[in-house]
Amino acid sequence: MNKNAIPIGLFLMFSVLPLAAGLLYALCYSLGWVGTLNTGFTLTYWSATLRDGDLWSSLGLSAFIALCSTALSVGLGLVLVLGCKDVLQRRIPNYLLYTPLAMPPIIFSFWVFQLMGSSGLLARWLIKTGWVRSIDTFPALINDRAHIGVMVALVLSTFPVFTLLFLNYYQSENIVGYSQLAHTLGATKRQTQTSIILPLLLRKAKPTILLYAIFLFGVFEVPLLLGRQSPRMISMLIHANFNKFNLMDLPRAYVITVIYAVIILSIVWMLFRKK
Amino acid sequence: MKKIVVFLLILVFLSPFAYFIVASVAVNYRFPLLWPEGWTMDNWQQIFRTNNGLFDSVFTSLLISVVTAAVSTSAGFVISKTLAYHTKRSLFNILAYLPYSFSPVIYAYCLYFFFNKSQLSGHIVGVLLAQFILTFPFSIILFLNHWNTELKAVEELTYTLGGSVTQAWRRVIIPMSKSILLLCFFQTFLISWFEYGLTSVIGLGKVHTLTIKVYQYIGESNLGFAALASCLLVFPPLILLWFNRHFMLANNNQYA
Amino acid sequence: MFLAIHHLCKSFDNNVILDNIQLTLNQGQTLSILGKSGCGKTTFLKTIAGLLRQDQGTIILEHNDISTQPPQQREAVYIYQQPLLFPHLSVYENIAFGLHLRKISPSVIREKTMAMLDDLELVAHAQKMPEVLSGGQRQRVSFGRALIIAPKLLLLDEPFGALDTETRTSMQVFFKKMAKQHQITAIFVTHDLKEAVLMGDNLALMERGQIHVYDHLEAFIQDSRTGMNQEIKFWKTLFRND
Repeated sequence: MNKNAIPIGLFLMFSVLPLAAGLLYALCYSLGWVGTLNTGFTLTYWSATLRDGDLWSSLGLSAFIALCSTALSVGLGLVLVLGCKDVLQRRIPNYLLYTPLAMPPIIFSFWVFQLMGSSGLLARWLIKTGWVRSIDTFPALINDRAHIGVMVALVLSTFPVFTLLFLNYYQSENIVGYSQLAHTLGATKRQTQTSIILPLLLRKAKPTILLYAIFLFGVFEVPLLLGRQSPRMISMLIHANFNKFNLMDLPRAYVITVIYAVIILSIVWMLFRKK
Repeated sequence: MKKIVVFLLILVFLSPFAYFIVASVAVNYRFPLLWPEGWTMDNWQQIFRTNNGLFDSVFTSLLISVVTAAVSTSAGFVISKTLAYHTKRSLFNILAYLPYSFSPVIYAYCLYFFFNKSQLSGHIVGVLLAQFILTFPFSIILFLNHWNTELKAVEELTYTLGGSVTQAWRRVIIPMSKSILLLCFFQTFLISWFEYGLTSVIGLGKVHTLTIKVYQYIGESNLGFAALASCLLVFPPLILLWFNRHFMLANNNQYA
Repeated sequence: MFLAIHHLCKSFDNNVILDNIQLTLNQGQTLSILGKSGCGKTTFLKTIAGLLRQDQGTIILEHNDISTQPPQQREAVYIYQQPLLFPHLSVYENIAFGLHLRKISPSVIREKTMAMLDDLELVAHAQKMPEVLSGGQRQRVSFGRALIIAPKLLLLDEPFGALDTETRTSMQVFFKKMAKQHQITAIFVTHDLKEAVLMGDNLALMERGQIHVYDHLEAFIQDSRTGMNQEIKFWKTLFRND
């Protein structure tokens, strides 16, 4: 036997096979081939789900939140690195930037819940200072329609990562050297930032940015605590359909799972095949 | 400028930790009070009371995370070597990224049928296996970048100097890979330590890790215990961060 | 013959890299092989070292057929262009590495390592880590690490290629001295014409997977493929113009 067969076999068994088997089962379930409701091949669940507005609003909302949160995090990271790189490289500020990495998403959600909820710290402080008269006049910042709470939690947890990433790239990509070269060629500080530093940082960080957008598209813990029932993010929609008492909702849950998988796996495949 | 930035960073990043400590020792922290009426260590003392289950959940989380991290790091390290030097290296890289980028909770629902059939759902072994399936691709991705032509040349040199395969691993490859092994261990430990969605689905809520406890206390509106469990969840990584912050950043995905 | 290679062939995906190579070498001699990049030099050396398996042919070293032996048993050390010092070991530990593998007694290891450090003129640097050494010092440690186990054959793959001109010259002198002192049998591969002539007791040219060994220097000079004649003409013309 080829000496590579065992390691490659183990890799496929624990990395590829579970996903492939899970998705195959989901597909078969959604087509009525397997499961307790198995009635033989049918496209009923697919046609019903695809006609359902919930699916499209969930996909739209997830894409919107993922893109907005990623864009805000990247933007904030860039502003911080361009504006105060030297400060961020000092010991204490640098340590502070790392602290969010010690917090799981569920804790971020809990913190934002306690901070921005209607009886949270912000509401208490605003009432104490007289800015808000009562709890009723405090705006809904969590479980809200615009998903502000969700996005705040996501941005808070991801912008430090991008800031640290850009700080690392600043050194590894010799950006100081390129900037000095641009200055000697006559570029102003602003021109150097927009034509040299930003494109270099973004080009290097592009795969990571896209990967984060993909992660945020399927985020679960944050909307679980801070999101709304309708519309809800895709992971919440799938979770809800799997947990309904009505067994008729299971095939629908599997249809949405397959759709999510097709979207995510195609993006990842294209992203890394190109790379 | 420097002072403002530092102040803002402290405000944004240290306030959650401060809040969790305050909330875990607060008495009568009613709305709209800005500050609790009193203080108590009751919650903290309850960690060690057996009926509370918090101590058990710390132990369960620790056990699951250590085993998951140890197995995925060692398996990923050995297996990735073959994948990295194979002509299909880039294909293996993409294949590892596919499960890694998948939402853990949705992945858990895909796997649930198989775990249920094999009677692993609702059991700590099932959660361990599921978390391994989650962290293993990550370790493969991390190590694929580690195996390079220089490391291969050093290994070959060891053989021409008379070293056996075991000697090459023990005396050269592992010592030269110590930092990435530690990085991978801590990263996979953290993915497992922070995991909620997959654990709740595969564990059926019966495997009480710390994240499950936090969510349970939040659901019961038990602020004191939720804050206490949060402290227990975030302080170990925070201490690790103090000793070596570089273990914390490896292009990681907190949501995995 | 100390080293005899017969009909050595190696291909990768239908590309012939080594094409029926025949070669012999006496003990204590250095064979310089001149070759451009991509001519198959590295594959040739790695096949002798046992790091690659030939498709056909035999390799006889000191009357033993080593063609199918693993690299550990061949006693043929392959030295790369990069010194490849183990970054986690000091200079002393790097040199003693091969002796540790053989589980030799600590006192002998110490004695032999100190003697080698002395030969290499690196006693003062014994406890230093590789990253603080200069390029020439690193390559000397790399030589010492190989020589200390007294290999039957040294395979040198452009060992001075990464060094600056001055260090390269001093390393060439150093190698000649060590080769004489330790009675080294070596195959020295380079793309540098001058270095090939300086380092070898015998000269050869490698081209498109084949090796042509010259009986004497004059034959090497006269072969237009080596470029030696053009080089001599160039310097003569320059001298005349002055």
